[in-house]
Amino acid sequence: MQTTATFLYLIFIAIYLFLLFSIRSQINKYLLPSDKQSKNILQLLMLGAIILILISVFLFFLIPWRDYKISFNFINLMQKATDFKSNL
Amino acid sequence: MIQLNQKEEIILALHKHWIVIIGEVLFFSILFFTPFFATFFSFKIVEEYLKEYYYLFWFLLSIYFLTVYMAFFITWMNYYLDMWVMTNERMFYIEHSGIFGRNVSEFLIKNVQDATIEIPGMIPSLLKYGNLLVQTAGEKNFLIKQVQNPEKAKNIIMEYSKTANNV
Repeated sequence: MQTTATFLYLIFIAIYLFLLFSIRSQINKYLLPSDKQSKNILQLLMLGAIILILISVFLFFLIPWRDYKISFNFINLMQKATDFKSNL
Repeated sequence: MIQLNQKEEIILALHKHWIVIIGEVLFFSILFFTPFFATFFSFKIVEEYLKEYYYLFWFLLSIYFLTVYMAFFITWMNYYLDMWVMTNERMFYIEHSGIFGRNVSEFLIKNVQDATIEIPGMIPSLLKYGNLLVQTAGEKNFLIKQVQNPEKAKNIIMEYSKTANNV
Protein backbone atom coordinates (compact mmCIF):
# COMPACT_ATOMS: atom_id res chain seq x y z
CA MET A 1 0.00 0.00 0.00
CA GLN A 2 2.77 2.40 0.95
CA THR A 3 4.71 1.75 -2.26
CA THR A 4 1.65 2.26 -4.45
CA ALA A 5 0.68 5.43 -2.58
CA THR A 6 4.23 6.81 -2.76
CA PHE A 7 4.43 6.05 -6.46
CA LEU A 8 1.09 7.73 -7.21
CA TYR A 9 1.92 10.69 -5.01
CA LEU A 10 5.30 11.19 -6.69
CA ILE A 11 3.63 11.18 -10.11
CA PHE A 12 1.09 13.74 -8.88
CA ILE A 13 3.77 16.01 -7.42
CA ALA A 14 5.92 15.72 -10.57
CA ILE A 15 2.98 16.71 -12.81
CA TYR A 16 2.02 19.49 -10.41
CA LEU A 17 5.53 20.95 -10.34
CA PHE A 18 5.79 20.69 -14.11
CA LEU A 19 2.53 22.63 -14.53
CA LEU A 20 3.52 25.15 -11.89
CA PHE A 21 6.87 25.98 -13.47
CA SER A 22 5.36 25.93 -16.96
CA ILE A 23 2.86 28.59 -15.86
CA ARG A 24 5.66 30.60 -14.28
CA SER A 25 7.81 30.46 -17.39
CA GLN A 26 4.86 31.29 -19.68
CA ILE A 27 3.90 34.32 -17.60
CA ASN A 28 7.50 35.55 -17.35
CA LYS A 29 7.89 35.07 -21.09
CA TYR A 30 4.79 36.93 -22.19
CA LEU A 31 4.28 39.55 -19.53
CA LEU A 32 5.09 43.09 -20.54
CA PRO A 33 8.35 44.40 -19.01
CA SER A 34 6.55 47.32 -17.39
CA ASP A 35 4.11 45.09 -15.53
CA LYS A 36 5.69 44.82 -12.09
CA GLN A 37 2.46 44.33 -10.14
CA SER A 38 1.72 41.06 -11.94
CA LYS A 39 5.20 39.78 -11.18
CA ASN A 40 4.45 40.29 -7.48
CA ILE A 41 1.11 38.47 -7.83
CA LEU A 42 2.91 35.64 -9.64
CA GLN A 43 5.49 35.34 -6.87
CA LEU A 44 2.72 35.30 -4.28
CA LEU A 45 0.84 32.55 -6.13
CA MET A 46 4.03 30.50 -6.51
CA LEU A 47 4.75 30.87 -2.80
CA GLY A 48 1.19 29.74 -1.97
CA ALA A 49 1.56 26.66 -4.18
CA ILE A 50 4.92 25.73 -2.63
CA ILE A 51 3.51 26.11 0.90
CA LEU A 52 0.57 23.86 -0.04
CA ILE A 53 2.93 21.26 -1.53
CA LEU A 54 5.06 21.29 1.64
CA ILE A 55 1.95 20.83 3.82
CA SER A 56 0.85 17.97 1.58
CA VAL A 57 4.29 16.29 1.80
CA PHE A 58 4.29 16.72 5.58
CA LEU A 59 0.83 15.11 5.83
CA PHE A 60 1.90 12.28 3.55
CA PHE A 61 4.66 11.32 5.98
CA LEU A 62 2.27 11.49 8.94
CA ILE A 63 0.00 8.80 7.51
CA PRO A 64 0.56 5.39 9.12
CA TRP A 65 0.53 3.54 5.76
CA ARG A 66 1.57 0.21 7.29
CA ASP A 67 -1.59 0.10 9.42
CA TYR A 68 -3.78 0.12 6.35
CA LYS A 69 -4.64 -3.28 5.11
CA ILE A 70 -6.37 -2.20 1.94
CA SER A 71 -4.68 -3.79 -1.01
CA PHE A 72 -4.95 -2.46 -4.54
CA ASN A 73 -4.02 -5.72 -6.12
CA PHE A 74 -5.26 -5.59 -9.68
CA ILE A 75 -5.26 -9.39 -10.18
CA ASN A 76 -7.33 -9.90 -7.01
CA LEU A 77 -9.68 -7.18 -8.15
CA MET A 78 -10.16 -8.84 -11.54
CA GLN A 79 -10.69 -12.21 -9.84
CA LYS A 80 -13.34 -10.68 -7.59
CA ALA A 81 -15.04 -9.11 -10.62
CA THR A 82 -15.03 -12.48 -12.42
CA ASP A 83 -16.47 -14.23 -9.36
CA PHE A 84 -19.14 -11.59 -9.07
CA LYS A 85 -20.08 -12.04 -12.74
CA SER A 86 -20.21 -15.82 -12.47
CA ASN A 87 -22.43 -15.56 -9.39
CA LEU A 88 -24.85 -13.49 -11.40
CA MET B 1 6.98 37.77 -26.59
CA ILE B 2 6.16 40.67 -28.90
CA GLN B 3 9.09 41.71 -31.09
CA LEU B 4 9.17 45.48 -31.41
CA ASN B 5 10.94 47.41 -34.14
CA GLN B 6 13.68 49.90 -33.32
CA LYS B 7 11.53 53.02 -33.09
CA GLU B 8 8.47 51.20 -31.82
CA GLU B 9 7.27 51.68 -28.27
CA ILE B 10 4.33 50.40 -26.26
CA ILE B 11 1.65 53.02 -25.76
CA LEU B 12 -1.25 51.09 -24.35
CA ALA B 13 -1.84 47.64 -22.88
CA LEU B 14 -5.46 46.68 -22.37
CA HIS B 15 -6.66 43.83 -20.23
CA LYS B 16 -10.16 42.61 -19.69
CA HIS B 17 -11.95 44.26 -16.77
CA TRP B 18 -11.57 42.60 -13.36
CA ILE B 19 -15.32 41.96 -13.28
CA VAL B 20 -14.70 39.21 -15.89
CA ILE B 21 -12.64 37.18 -13.46
CA ILE B 22 -14.52 38.03 -10.25
CA GLY B 23 -17.12 35.27 -10.83
CA GLU B 24 -14.38 32.69 -11.27
CA VAL B 25 -12.52 33.98 -8.21
CA LEU B 26 -15.70 33.59 -6.14
CA PHE B 27 -16.28 30.10 -7.52
CA PHE B 28 -12.74 28.98 -6.66
CA SER B 29 -12.94 30.65 -3.24
CA ILE B 30 -16.07 28.64 -2.46
CA LEU B 31 -14.39 25.45 -3.69
CA PHE B 32 -11.30 26.23 -1.63
CA PHE B 33 -12.77 27.40 1.65
CA THR B 34 -15.95 25.30 1.98
CA PRO B 35 -14.21 21.98 2.83
CA PHE B 36 -11.79 23.86 5.05
CA PHE B 37 -14.49 25.52 7.15
CA ALA B 38 -16.73 22.44 7.06
CA THR B 39 -13.89 20.38 8.55
CA PHE B 40 -12.96 23.11 10.99
CA PHE B 41 -16.49 23.35 12.40
CA SER B 42 -17.02 19.60 12.52
CA PHE B 43 -13.55 18.90 13.85
CA LYS B 44 -14.73 16.61 16.67
CA ILE B 45 -16.85 14.51 14.33
CA VAL B 46 -13.90 14.12 11.95
CA GLU B 47 -11.61 13.21 14.83
CA GLU B 48 -14.06 10.68 16.24
CA TYR B 49 -15.27 8.93 13.09
CA LEU B 50 -12.01 9.01 11.13
CA LYS B 51 -9.75 7.85 13.91
CA GLU B 52 -7.89 5.39 11.78
CA TYR B 53 -7.89 7.53 8.65
CA TYR B 54 -7.40 10.89 10.31
CA TYR B 55 -4.14 11.86 8.62
CA LEU B 56 -5.19 10.24 5.36
CA PHE B 57 -8.26 12.48 5.38
CA TRP B 58 -6.15 15.61 5.83
CA PHE B 59 -3.72 14.43 3.19
CA LEU B 60 -6.51 13.88 0.64
CA LEU B 61 -7.89 17.29 1.55
CA SER B 62 -4.49 18.83 0.83
CA ILE B 63 -4.47 17.14 -2.61
CA TYR B 64 -7.91 18.64 -3.23
CA PHE B 65 -6.65 22.10 -2.21
CA LEU B 66 -3.64 21.75 -4.50
CA THR B 67 -5.90 20.86 -7.44
CA VAL B 68 -8.27 23.78 -6.84
CA TYR B 69 -5.29 26.12 -6.42
CA MET B 70 -3.82 24.98 -9.73
CA ALA B 71 -7.16 25.47 -11.53
CA PHE B 72 -7.36 29.00 -10.11
CA PHE B 73 -3.76 29.70 -11.14
CA ILE B 74 -4.49 28.65 -14.74
CA THR B 75 -7.67 30.76 -14.81
CA TRP B 76 -5.78 33.83 -13.56
CA MET B 77 -3.04 33.24 -16.13
CA ASN B 78 -5.58 33.01 -18.96
CA TYR B 79 -7.24 36.20 -17.79
CA TYR B 80 -3.98 38.09 -17.44
CA LEU B 81 -2.27 37.00 -20.64
CA ASP B 82 -5.31 37.85 -22.79
CA MET B 83 -4.49 41.39 -23.80
CA TRP B 84 -4.38 44.09 -26.39
CA VAL B 85 -1.10 45.86 -26.86
CA MET B 86 -0.87 49.02 -28.86
CA THR B 87 2.41 50.45 -30.05
CA ASN B 88 2.93 53.58 -32.13
CA GLU B 89 2.98 51.37 -35.27
CA ARG B 90 0.93 48.25 -34.64
CA MET B 91 -1.75 46.70 -32.52
CA PHE B 92 -1.59 43.17 -31.16
CA TYR B 93 -4.38 40.98 -29.93
CA ILE B 94 -3.06 38.16 -27.77
CA GLU B 95 -5.36 35.37 -26.70
CA HIS B 96 -4.10 32.73 -24.31
CA SER B 97 -5.83 29.40 -23.87
CA GLY B 98 -4.85 26.72 -21.37
CA ILE B 99 -1.21 26.79 -20.30
CA PHE B 100 0.56 26.64 -23.65
CA GLY B 101 -2.04 27.75 -26.23
CA ARG B 102 -1.52 31.21 -27.69
CA ASN B 103 -3.04 33.11 -30.57
CA VAL B 104 -1.55 36.45 -31.67
CA SER B 105 -3.11 38.75 -34.29
CA GLU B 106 -1.68 42.07 -35.34
CA PHE B 107 -2.50 44.93 -37.64
CA LEU B 108 -0.97 48.28 -38.53
CA ILE B 109 -2.30 51.37 -36.80
CA LYS B 110 -2.42 53.20 -40.13
CA ASN B 111 -4.98 50.61 -41.35
CA VAL B 112 -7.47 51.53 -38.62
CA GLN B 113 -10.53 53.11 -40.20
CA ASP B 114 -12.96 53.32 -37.34
CA ALA B 115 -13.32 52.47 -33.67
CA THR B 116 -16.67 51.96 -31.98
CA ILE B 117 -17.40 51.45 -28.31
CA GLU B 118 -20.39 49.74 -26.76
CA ILE B 119 -21.25 49.99 -23.07
CA PRO B 120 -24.13 47.56 -22.59
CA GLY B 121 -26.08 48.52 -19.47
CA MET B 122 -25.81 50.05 -16.04
CA ILE B 123 -23.09 47.90 -14.44
CA PRO B 124 -20.60 48.33 -17.32
CA SER B 125 -21.35 52.05 -17.23
CA LEU B 126 -20.67 52.26 -13.48
CA LEU B 127 -17.57 50.09 -13.61
CA LYS B 128 -16.30 51.73 -16.79
CA TYR B 129 -15.91 48.75 -19.07
CA GLY B 130 -17.34 47.77 -22.43
CA ASN B 131 -16.69 46.39 -25.88
CA LEU B 132 -14.45 48.06 -28.40
CA LEU B 133 -14.73 47.31 -32.11
CA VAL B 134 -11.81 48.31 -34.31
CA GLN B 135 -12.43 48.26 -38.04
CA THR B 136 -9.42 47.99 -40.28
CA ALA B 137 -8.83 48.47 -44.01
CA GLY B 138 -8.60 44.70 -44.33
CA GLU B 139 -11.60 42.42 -44.12
CA LYS B 140 -11.13 41.53 -40.51
CA ASN B 141 -12.59 43.54 -37.65
CA PHE B 142 -11.24 43.25 -34.14
CA LEU B 143 -13.61 43.11 -31.20
CA ILE B 144 -12.23 43.64 -27.72
CA LYS B 145 -14.77 42.41 -25.21
CA GLN B 146 -15.20 43.70 -21.65
CA VAL B 147 -12.20 45.96 -21.77
CA GLN B 148 -11.30 48.58 -19.17
CA ASN B 149 -11.86 52.24 -20.09
CA PRO B 150 -12.97 51.64 -23.71
CA GLU B 151 -13.53 55.33 -24.33
CA LYS B 152 -9.97 56.28 -23.42
CA ALA B 153 -8.65 53.39 -25.51
CA LYS B 154 -10.76 54.43 -28.48
CA ASN B 155 -9.51 58.02 -28.31
CA ILE B 156 -5.88 56.89 -28.15
CA ILE B 157 -6.33 54.46 -31.07
CA MET B 158 -7.99 57.10 -33.25
CA GLU B 159 -5.41 59.72 -32.33
CA TYR B 160 -2.52 57.46 -33.36
CA SER B 161 -4.36 56.30 -36.45
CA LYS B 162 -4.80 59.89 -37.60
CA THR B 163 -1.15 60.66 -36.87
CA ALA B 164 -0.07 57.56 -38.84
CA ASN B 165 -2.24 58.59 -41.80
CA ASN B 166 -1.20 62.28 -41.53
CA VAL B 167 -4.82 63.43 -41.22
